[in-house]
Amino acid sequence: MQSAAAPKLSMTQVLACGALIVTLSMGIRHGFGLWLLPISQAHGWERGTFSFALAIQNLSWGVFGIFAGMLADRFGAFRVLVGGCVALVLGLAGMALAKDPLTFTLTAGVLIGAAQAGTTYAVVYGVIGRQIDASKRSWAMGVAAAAGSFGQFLMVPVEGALIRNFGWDNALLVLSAIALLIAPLALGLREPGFGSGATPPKREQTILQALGEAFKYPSFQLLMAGYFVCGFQVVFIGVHLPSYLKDKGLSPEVASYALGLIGLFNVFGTYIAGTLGQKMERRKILAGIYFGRSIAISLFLLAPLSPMSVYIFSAVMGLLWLSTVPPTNATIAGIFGVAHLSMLGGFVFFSHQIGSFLGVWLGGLLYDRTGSYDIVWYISIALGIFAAIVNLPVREAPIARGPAPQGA
Amino acid sequence: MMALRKIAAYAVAVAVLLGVFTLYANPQMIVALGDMVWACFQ
Repeated sequence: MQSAAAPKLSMTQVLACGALIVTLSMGIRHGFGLWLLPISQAHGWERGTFSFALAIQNLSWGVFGIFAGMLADRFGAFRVLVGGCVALVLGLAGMALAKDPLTFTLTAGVLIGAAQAGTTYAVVYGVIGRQIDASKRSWAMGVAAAAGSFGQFLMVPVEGALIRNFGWDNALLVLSAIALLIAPLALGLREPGFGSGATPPKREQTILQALGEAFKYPSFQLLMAGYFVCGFQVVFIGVHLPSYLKDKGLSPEVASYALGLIGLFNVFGTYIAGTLGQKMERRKILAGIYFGRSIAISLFLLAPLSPMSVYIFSAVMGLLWLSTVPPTNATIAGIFGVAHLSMLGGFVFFSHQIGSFLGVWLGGLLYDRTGSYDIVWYISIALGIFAAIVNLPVREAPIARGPAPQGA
Repeated sequence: MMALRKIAAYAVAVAVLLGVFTLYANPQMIVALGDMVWACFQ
């Protein structure tokens, strides 16, 4: 555990290395859907086998995120990032070499989910929180989130090209080699005070005390509820929008452009949200984002469907896509401080992943039952309004604490 | 000077983003990507 008092790494170094790490980790994982067909065909598996592994991956990411956050807060982000890098390299190689569904689920699902937990926002945000002054923290988180968004935007077409040019299995091995870059980049996030020879300063709170405090604090619960909605909406739209457009008779090109526009505007949206978080109350930014999503979805459903309406919807949703990430994490840092930021961020992200899981699952289930996505669209609108309302009363001021407990 | 640097940085970022977007605008790429994405739902 490092003292949060004095920043010791340069902001440029933290931002450059943190941004490149999340660009790689978020980007590599984002195009996994492209492997569904080639892997299923090569092994003669049903598509459910692949989908199940990815569902496990999402849950694994959420669960391991909590523990990765705890470890990063205690032993430093560097070690967790290196561990995550090793897991990602092995997971990608295992995904290429797995011959049976169980091995595939363990590598593509559990291992890569754990790798994501160790190499994405929660861990990197912990370093940003500790090393970058609060006056620039939200902006810096916006930069890192924009980098992750850029990775997602960049890697989908890159991974498509890799599969076409090298074959699905070699493409995974190429990605596995690229993932190795995370380890040297993690050196840039090696915080003084976390090394083996360092004497850790006294912790103000134990993990249990920090957890107890956060879960009893209504604003933390409200942030978790909002992030749940974020996961639900984003993953429902990301996964089911192409299918929805297909049902409505639009061409495949429209779906691809839609994904491209979401990716492009997502980069702007996350950066703008982070920057705005330095200038105005973040609870209002979050409420605006969730309310904006409900408005955008409502207008999309009400307007006559055309390629142009899809593009406008995609651009607007892109702006609001991961823009919740910087204000949510900056608010947590503002309320509880940075000592347990990665762990608390991991818990909030777990809520996001539960929402993601339900968004995908309910989307498919209700489509099968009713033959349309209408109900899930309506649920998304209602949840957006709910999330906007619950974010408004969030108290952003630092929590008032008594004197540090003895021996803690 | 700082303002110029900032503008240059933004210009480079926008150019890179538009460059990546052209990957989505490539007709060959776009059809292949669309087919792969839609295959998930067939």
